[in-house]
Amino acid sequence: MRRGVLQYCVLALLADEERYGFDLVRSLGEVDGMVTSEGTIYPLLSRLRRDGLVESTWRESSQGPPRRYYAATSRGRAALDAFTQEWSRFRDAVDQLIERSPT
Amino acid sequence: MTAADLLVNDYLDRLDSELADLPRPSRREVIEGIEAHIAEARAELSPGDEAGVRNVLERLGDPAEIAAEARERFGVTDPAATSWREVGALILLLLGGSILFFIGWAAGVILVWLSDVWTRRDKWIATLILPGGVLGAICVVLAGVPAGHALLLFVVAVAAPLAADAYLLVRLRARSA
Repeated sequence: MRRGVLQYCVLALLADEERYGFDLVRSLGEVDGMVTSEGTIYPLLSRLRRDGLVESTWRESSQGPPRRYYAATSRGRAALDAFTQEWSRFRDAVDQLIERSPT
Repeated sequence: MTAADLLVNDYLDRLDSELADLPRPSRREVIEGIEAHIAEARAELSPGDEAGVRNVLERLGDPAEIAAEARERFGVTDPAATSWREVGALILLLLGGSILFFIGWAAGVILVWLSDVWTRRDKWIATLILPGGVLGAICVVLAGVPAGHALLLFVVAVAAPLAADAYLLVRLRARSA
C-alpha cells in the first residue's frame, strides 16, 4: 500500500513549490516510515515526469552544478485532489473499523 | 581518488549494470538523479568523510532494489521472466497452421494476446498478418494458383508472415534485452 500512496506524497510535496531531487527525498525521509530506500524515489520521479504529472526545469545553483527542479503540473494536482478525496473516505472507513472499542 | 570516491564510483557502476535492461532515457534520468543526490549529500560532509558517504549510499539503498523499482515503474519485464510463452507463441504463429487444422496457429494468437511484452499494435500485427502461418500459406500455393499471381501470393503468404514473426521477435528482444 505504501508504494501506491508514495506517488501522491511526492505530488503533495510538489504541488505548491518546486524542489530538487535531494530536497524532495530529504523531506520524504523526514516522515517516519515513508521511505525505506531513498534511491527508489528517482525511478518514481522519472515515471511521474513521463506521465505528465510532474515537470522539471534545470536551474543554476549558487553552490555547485545546476539542479533539476520538479513541480506538479495541473494534471498532477488534479490527480492529487482526486486521491485526497478517496484517501479521506478510505481513512475514515478504516478508522471506524479499527477504533471500534471492544464491548 | 579518495576511498570515498571509490565507494561512490563502485555504487554508480553497480547501479548502471543493474539498470542495463531499462530504456536508455529512463536509465540515464535515474542515474543522473542518484548521482546529483550523492553530490548534494557529499557537499554537506567534510571531504574525506568515508563513513558519511557510506551512510548516504546505505540510505539510498541497494542498486538492485532501485533497479527493481525502476523496472516496475516503467513496466519493463525482468529479462529472466521473459518466458518460453513468447517464444512458443512465435513458433506456433509461424508453423502452427499445420497442427490440427490451424489449432496450433490459434493457440499462438491466444498466447500473443496473453503476453504483456507486446503492445496492442504488435498483437494486431501478429493476429492479422499471420493467418495460418507459413505452412498454411504453402497449402494455398499447392492448391494451384495462376502463375502470374505466384509472386504476389508468395509475398502475401510467405514473406509477410516471416517478416511479421521477425518483427515480433525484434520487439520481444527490445523489451527484454
